[in-house]
Parts: sequence; C-alpha cells; structure tokens
Amino acid sequence: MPAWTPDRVITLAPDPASAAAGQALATLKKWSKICRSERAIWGLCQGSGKDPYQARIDLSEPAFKCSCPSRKFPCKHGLALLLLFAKDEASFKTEAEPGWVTEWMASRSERAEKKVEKAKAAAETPVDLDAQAKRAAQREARVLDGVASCHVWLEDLVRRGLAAAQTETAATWDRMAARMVDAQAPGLAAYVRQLTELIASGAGWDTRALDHLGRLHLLLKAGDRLVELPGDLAVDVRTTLGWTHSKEDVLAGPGVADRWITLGQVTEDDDRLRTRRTWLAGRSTGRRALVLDFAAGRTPFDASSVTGTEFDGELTFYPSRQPMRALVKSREEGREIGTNLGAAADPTIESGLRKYAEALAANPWMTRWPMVFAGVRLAPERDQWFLVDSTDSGLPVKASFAAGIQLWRLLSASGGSHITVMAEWDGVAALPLSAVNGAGYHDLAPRWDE
Amino acid sequence: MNDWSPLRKLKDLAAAAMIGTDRSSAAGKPDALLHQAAVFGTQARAGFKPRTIAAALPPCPQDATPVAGTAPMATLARLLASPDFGMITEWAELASAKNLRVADAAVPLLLDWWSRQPRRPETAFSVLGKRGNWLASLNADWRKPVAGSEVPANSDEIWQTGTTPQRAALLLTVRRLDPSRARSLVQSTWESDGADEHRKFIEVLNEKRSMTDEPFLESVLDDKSNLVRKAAAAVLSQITGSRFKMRMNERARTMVILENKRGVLKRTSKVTLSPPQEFDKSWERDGIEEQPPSGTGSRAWWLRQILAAADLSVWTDVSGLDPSGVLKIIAADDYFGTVLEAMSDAAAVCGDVSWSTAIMGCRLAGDKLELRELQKVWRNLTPEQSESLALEAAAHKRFTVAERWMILASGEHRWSLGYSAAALKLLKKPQEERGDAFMLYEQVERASRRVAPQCAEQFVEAVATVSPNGKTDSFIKSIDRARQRAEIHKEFEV
Repeated sequence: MPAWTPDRVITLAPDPASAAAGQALATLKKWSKICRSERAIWGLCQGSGKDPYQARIDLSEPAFKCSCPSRKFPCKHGLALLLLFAKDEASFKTEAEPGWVTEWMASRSERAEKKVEKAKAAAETPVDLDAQAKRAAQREARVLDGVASCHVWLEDLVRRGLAAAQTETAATWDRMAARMVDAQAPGLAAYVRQLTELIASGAGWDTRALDHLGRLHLLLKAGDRLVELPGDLAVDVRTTLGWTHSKEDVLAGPGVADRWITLGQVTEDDDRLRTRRTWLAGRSTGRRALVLDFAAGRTPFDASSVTGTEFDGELTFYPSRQPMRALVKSREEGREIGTNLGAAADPTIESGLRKYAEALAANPWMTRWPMVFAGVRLAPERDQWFLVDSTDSGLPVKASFAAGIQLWRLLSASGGSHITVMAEWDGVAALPLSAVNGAGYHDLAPRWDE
Repeated sequence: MNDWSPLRKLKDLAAAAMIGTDRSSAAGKPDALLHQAAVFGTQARAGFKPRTIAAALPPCPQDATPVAGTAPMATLARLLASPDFGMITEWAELASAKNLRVADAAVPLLLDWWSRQPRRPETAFSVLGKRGNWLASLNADWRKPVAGSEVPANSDEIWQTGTTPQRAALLLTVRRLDPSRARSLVQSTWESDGADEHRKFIEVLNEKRSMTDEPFLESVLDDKSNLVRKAAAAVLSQITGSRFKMRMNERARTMVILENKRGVLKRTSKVTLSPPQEFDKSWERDGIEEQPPSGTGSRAWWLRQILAAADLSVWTDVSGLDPSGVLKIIAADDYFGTVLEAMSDAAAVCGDVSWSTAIMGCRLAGDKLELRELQKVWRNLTPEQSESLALEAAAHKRFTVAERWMILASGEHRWSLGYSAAALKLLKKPQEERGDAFMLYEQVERASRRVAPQCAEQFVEAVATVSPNGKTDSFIKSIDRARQRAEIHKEFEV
C-alpha cells in the first residue's frame, strides 16, 4: 500500500460530518498516546467519557476498531488517528502492542482463518450435481416467466402512452419491480425502477424514457431467444437480466497482468446499500476495468483500492462480450500514478468515442464507459461546459457537475491549459471523476450527496 | 441535428409514445415502436458526434509565488470544512506574511468561502494568487469588487427614495471611501430630511471625522432639535481644534482656578474647582444638559459635562504641572470624584498615555469603580500602551479572577507575546469564589482568538482555573481554538 496522505484518509470517511470531526481531532494535543508496531497503530484519545477511547488500526487493510460508542464506521477517532499517521508518521513511537491491540489483531486473523477453513470445507463437500441442476432449471423457468410478463407490461405501457404512465403512483412501479424480483430477475426490476426516475427527470424526459424502454425491449426479446443466442451474447443477456457469477468462479479465470491505474471512484447511496464503482485502466494494455464494491448500512468499503495510485497485478474479468467488470486477483504494493498515463489514455475525443461505440456494439446494455483524455481543456459554450481536445472536438460535461464546485476545482487545477481528465461517459454527457497534471492527482468524484 | 439523425427519429418516436399506440396511427404496433426505439437509441449513443468548440478560455497567467506546504494546505481544508472567520483570516495572514499562495486545486474552495463573507477579507483573496483573480473573472459570484466601486450604481436613487436604514447604510459605505462626498450627501437633502434622519446621519459622520467636517457640524448646533444638536456635539467633542472644543476649553478655564500661596519656606500652588453657579443659556447650543439625573447636584452635573468635553491640556496649562501632579493637588477637593469621571471621558478621546496612567491610578485607589469606566481610559491608546495599562490594572489586588478576565480580554487587538504571558500568569491564580464561570464565556472566547499562539498551553491552564471541571462546551471550543491556532502558526514556521 502506498504511503497514506490526508486526502486519501478522508476518502474513508462515511460522511462529511465524520470527515470534519476526524480532521478536528487529528492533532497531537488530542491524543495522550500514539504508538505503532510493524502492522498496527493505536492511540488514546480523551473524549467526553471518563476513560480515553482506545483506537486501533490494522495497517494491512486498513481495519479500524475503537472503544467509543459511535455508530459511524470508521469513527472520528479512527479517522483522526490515521490522519495523524499520514501527516506525521514520526510522532508515532514504536512500542510493543498492548493487550487491547494484540487481542484484537489476533481475533481478526482468527476470523480470517476460519473463513478460509469454511471455504475449504465447502469446496471439499461433494456437490450434489442433480440438486444443483434442478435449482438452475427452476430459476431458468422463473426468469423466463418474468421476461414474458414484463413484455406484456411493457407493450401495454406503450399502448396506453407514456403521458398516462406519468400519472401512475409510485406503488404501481414498486409492485412491478417486486414482481420481477420474485421472478428472480433483479436486472429487470432495476430497469423498472430506473424508468420511474427518468419519468421524473424534467424536460426531455419522454425521449430518455423511450430510449430506456427500447433497451429493455431489446433485452426482453433477447431473453425470449436465450437458447438460440451465441454463447457469449447469451452470457451478457443473462447478466443483464440478473444472473450472477460467483466470485470464486471469476477469480478462477485467467488473470490479465498489467500495471493497473485506479482512475477514479463514484459512490452511490441507495436506501440500504451503497455501491462504489472503481474504474481502472491498464498502463500497457490500455484495457479498462470496473470493480464494484457493495457495503450495507454503516460498514466501510474495502480500502485497498486508492484513487490516484497504480499497482502491478492481475485482474480477472467477469464473462462478457465486452469484459469490463473485474476482480483483483493479485496485487503488488501500490504507488502514486505520476503524470503520464501511458496507453491508458485516449489521444483524442474521437478515438475515445470510437472505443465506446465498439464496446456498445458488443454489449448494447452497457450504461457507462470510462474515458481517459491525455490532454483536454475546459471551455464554455452558451450554457454548457465542454471537455475539448487538441482538435477542438468538444464533449459536453454533465450539468450536475458543472453546477457544483468540482467544475471550478478542475478548472483551477488546469489553469485554462490542457490537463488529463478521466470521466464517466453515458452516451450523452461526461462526468469527470479525476484529473492529473504536473501538480499531481485531483480527485473530483462526488463522494457524498453534495 | 439533421432530420435523418437517430436522435431526431428517437424524439419523433417519443412524441408518438407519449400519446400511446392506441391513439396514434403513425407509430404502428407497440412491438414495432419499441424495436425502432432500441435501434435509434443505440445508434444515437454509438454515433455520438462531438461538437466543434472553437471558444477558449484566456489562460491563467503564471504565478511565481510559492505554494503553501502540504501541512498548512491540509489545515486550510480542515478550516474550510467547518468555517470560522477568524481562523481562516488568520491562516491567510500567515500565508501572506510568508509570501505563500494557496495550492491551485484548493483555490475555488477558499474563493467560494471568501465570496460568501459579508465583509470579504482582503488577505484571504490575496493569498489566492493569480489563479484567484483568473477564476473570479470567470465566475460572476466571485468577482472581486474593484476598490472604490463598492458604492452601488443606483446610490443616488437609494439616497433620494430609500428608507432611513438603507440610506444610513449607503452613507456609511460612502463615508468609508470618500468622507467629504458623504458629508455633501447629507447636506444635499438636509432641508427635506426630518430630525430623526438628521440624528442618524450625523452619527454616521462620526466615522472618519476630521476638521473638514467642522464647519458643517458647527452649523448643525443651531438646529431646532435637541437630539440633533447633541449628536453633532458628540462628534465635535472628538475633533481637536474645533470651535466647539475651544468654547469648552474656555468654559473649563473659568472653573479650574490656580492659586499661588506664598508659604514660610516655599511657594505652593493650589488648584481649586469652582463649578458654575448658574446655567448659562449659551451652553444649550453645545448640547449641555441643564437637568441633572436624580442623585446628582446641578452644579456638579454642569461641571462634569463641560470638563468631559474640554481638552485635558487645560489642566496642565493652568497648573503648569504634569498629569499626576494635577491629580495630586486636586485629590482633596470636594468635587474630585466628579472631576475624575469627567477626566476619564476626556481621556478616552485624547489618547495621552500619561493622562491615562494617572487617571487609572486614582480610579484604582478610589472606592467605587465600574470596570467599564476604568477601560475607557485606555481606549484610544496604542496597543502597547493599552496592554501595559490593562496589565497594571488587572494586577491590582481589589479584583477577583473573573474581573481580571474582563479587564484583560476586552481589547480588539491580537495580544503581544509579552502581554499574553503576563496576562495569563495573572489569570492562573487560583480563586476562592466559584459559580461565575458562565459569565466569562465571551471573554474566554475572545482571548482564545487573540492570545499569542506560543502561550496556548498557559491559556488552557488559565481556563482550567476558572472552570476546574472543564467540561463546558464553550470552554472546550475555546481551548481547541487556541491550540489549533498554535498549530497553524507552527505549520507555517517550518
């Protein structure tokens, strides 16, 4: 893992309030003791209680634990301790770990061992192939029923008109989404839910909604003919409908070795589940990859992927005609990405769009594509901002990005000249996630609901 | 966009889909419509044509000023996360003193904060460097008002038709930029304005007062309204050399009388006070009140008002003695208490350290004393002078620790290192009385913003003696603030 910087520590905060509280506590005066060992750091922080809080961090992940009653994770004490470590490593005295650190570290490794053992035991249990095949066939049948009923619903919707659909209550859509979940086709449920968002998305919603329905129609048609489709296309259709792949199977696949650059991260907050998209690009192969992380409630995301760093390692891709979603199979120690992104970057906007078109031709249900432009400038035209390359080709910037402070941070970092920008492209507008120039890496992603 | 572009076709389809295929013959069956939507939608995305953008922003000029280090920049980010005007301004002053600027990517955050402040601090803008100016030129919300142009463009309209508070606010803005233009503004509508407006506007003219205002203010003393006259007198009493002051000095001289006695061994001088016997009608014009407040005698009341408005030099001129000499020879007089009060008022205006020192000494020795009265005497001194007087006063054994806090933490200036150390030493004395800690929230907060950063720990100890349990939110915040300031200073030292 590369050295911690305050910016990087802040990315671990569960919300802006925790980030601010952690920063306020990140001063030596607040801590009566801060120490480190080879693998951990720990400290005592006086809070409002009688005894100081015991905060400890396993540096390998990092993992946090604190004796404070906060329900936030990591809590402000953990964040503050790591911030201090990032700012002023020298102040941490190397000492033998006290009991409350060793015990916790031991319980962690014990748990990890148990997990491995359990997995091993599961792998050793003979698989009941018959029962497995039966379950798979049952699901197949259920999903296909779901596809059929969704198609009826969709055609009915278009027959009655989108204007009429606009007057439907939320409960109607929820019911349809729930039916798709019951049919074990969560992908279809997601399409239904996204439709309700598009209907409420303001001027031009009709075109966006119809575009979305067209894609759904394409998916349902393909679902009908699943058995006839070529194998790799069938896989994409099944994935989009909601079939999942086990992590173990994916990790068992061949690895793609490269120096992988962590381009940027976007976190989206659903009611119960937070989803984080981490975009990667291979420095020598130029391949793009997406690592998805999920965290329920207050649990933190895995902290091993740090934006603005790169690592030598192997990724394995989920099966697809346009492999994109991936898992990290192995990784060496990370380091700062520097200013040159090598083959990971596209020389012009045209060439970036061409790659996107090719990917879309392979998998028409793909919704987001990572663009990396080695030298673009920002320019406004009328009410819109554009990323403009050396040939004066301009890609529109998402309005939500341009309306916030992040546009100005990007502009300020660029100083009006060319800068390397990484953005998510959805076929309509670009959402910049990060930028790199001589001054270093700039994280621009909306991390919290700003 | 051409007629045959996929996006155009998708839009046409959407129009049909809005009505529904049941009522739109053009769209065909649902299946056909959805099929076309899938085709055109995918074509539109895959075939996206970038726009040619010839427009370019002016590049930001190079800035040779070095960027502040990572530690100060991290601190600034922390300060901006929970903004505190004083601390951010102090950060900017430190950066400016070291000739450092804010790192490029952080410029918009500080600029945005700066633009939201009612009084945009100049230093916070200057540390943004050329990039700050460049960004501000691109964003109307951040545009920096050019010096002198802060007066709104429709100032005439506001002055002619605005409400009194609006007009007073405009007047203050103008006064700060161009004092004589402000005075002309007041004069331009004097005839049509009422007494209430007159009084308010004269009060505004107290800001940046000078002899150039004197002729106008002198003429206002002829106003029919008592309150307007008194407002003008209050300003004039602070303009040395005004005719008003001359008249007051003249009156004072008739009441301060020097007697030379030829004794057996040596000649001694004695100053006697002779308060007026009758109220002179001409005094009314200068705002002197005839009716004393209850409990005060008429003669003492007139004496007090006149001596408070006169120059203190009258005393030294008449007696030929220095301030402490003057006070010594009148100390036994019946009117000494009254005179001392009047002298405190006069000292607040004149800012002469020897007078302030002498008067303070007498007041500390006297029996009844309000802290506010005491603080008056160092109001107009230089920061160094008022610091040394405040220390001298606070060290007096008559005061409790709470009163010491009130004396020592009243100033508006940042504390010097010497003052901080000496003041905190006085404040650390354990005290007997308890239960008044809440009265000191304001003083402790003030001190936390002004104390020299090197003395942060002494400050913490001093706060602990006021509040031994130390768990009050307000005190904890003040302690944090003082320590944070110390850290910011240290970060800039490296």
